Amino acid sequence: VSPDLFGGSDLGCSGYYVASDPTQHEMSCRGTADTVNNFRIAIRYGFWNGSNGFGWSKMYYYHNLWMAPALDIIHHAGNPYGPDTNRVYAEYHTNDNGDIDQYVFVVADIQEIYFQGVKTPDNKAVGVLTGYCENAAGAQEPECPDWVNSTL
Amino acid sequence: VSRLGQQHPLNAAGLASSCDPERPSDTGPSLWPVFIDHWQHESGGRAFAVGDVVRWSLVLDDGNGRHAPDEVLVTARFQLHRHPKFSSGGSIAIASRLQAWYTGPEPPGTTITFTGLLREDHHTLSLVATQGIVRQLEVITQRYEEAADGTLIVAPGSWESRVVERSPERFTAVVEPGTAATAGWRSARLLRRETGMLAWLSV
Repeated sequence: VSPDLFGGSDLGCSGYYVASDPTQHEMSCRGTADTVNNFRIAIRYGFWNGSNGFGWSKMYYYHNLWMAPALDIIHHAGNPYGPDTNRVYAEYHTNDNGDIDQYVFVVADIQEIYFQGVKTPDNKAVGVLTGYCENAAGAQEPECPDWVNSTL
Repeated sequence: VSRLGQQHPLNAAGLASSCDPERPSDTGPSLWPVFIDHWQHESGGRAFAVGDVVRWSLVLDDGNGRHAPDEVLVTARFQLHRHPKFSSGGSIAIASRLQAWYTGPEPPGTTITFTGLLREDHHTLSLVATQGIVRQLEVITQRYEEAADGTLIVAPGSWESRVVERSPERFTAVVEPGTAATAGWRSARLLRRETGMLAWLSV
């Protein structure tokens, strides 16, 4: 991998692998966000093949969760939770009555440098695996509502 | 060999077997406990019920992070094989008809006796698959406590289970009550939640 491919981008990918054509490399960084614990999490291009995938591609194409809200959730989640090397970043939305009417989750691996046998060229963790929404009842929504992406 | 033999109710039902990990002929229990994280199921997992045939990607996990009780840990002998496509990052661990992804230090070609938690993982490990029939299903609830770095981790000894017939449509969570009086986005401190499911598979 050419060193210049580790250069920066508008979304904080300095130090991470950025392919000249991100669509051609699933490990290409699309953005990073710092957590409340000052841990840097990458969102890589990933892939989504209709039944399997990770990263931005799975979030966007499968769950309709966009980059900006996903980065915001990682950054603002007050208490990330999770076992071993997985972390879950969650935010919820309340209505005027204070009732929760929407949940959003972003899940990242903060240590593993392989995804299905493919190694990250920058030797940093894979980062975001997926992100998805749940409705007021806590049930999974196949796609995040558009208002989630425009208000987060 | 599953450790469920002495304690888990499945043993009383006569569904589980016990065997000696020192005997080379042992290939594992008749029922394998498999943990499924709530987020794995919520993000692309397929609904299933007791009696269904499932085909899952499994991983051998030390189980430390999830604080699973001993009776749901697996101890068995696995033969390690190189994946035909991927030469690094792990190996395929095989015990009888069960296949799981293993990332420990031992190289392909060796045999290991592993004690830990079997996990379903269709995100990072769709490299190998095991087919089985779900014989029993439990939803697991655990408490959280704060680690030194602020991360909420599962509290040891808080594992509770309830038997269900099918995978739930939702996994409930209890968060610290908020004080905000206006509509908007919030981050909440998680107190306890249904962390996932434990499925008992015959393979």
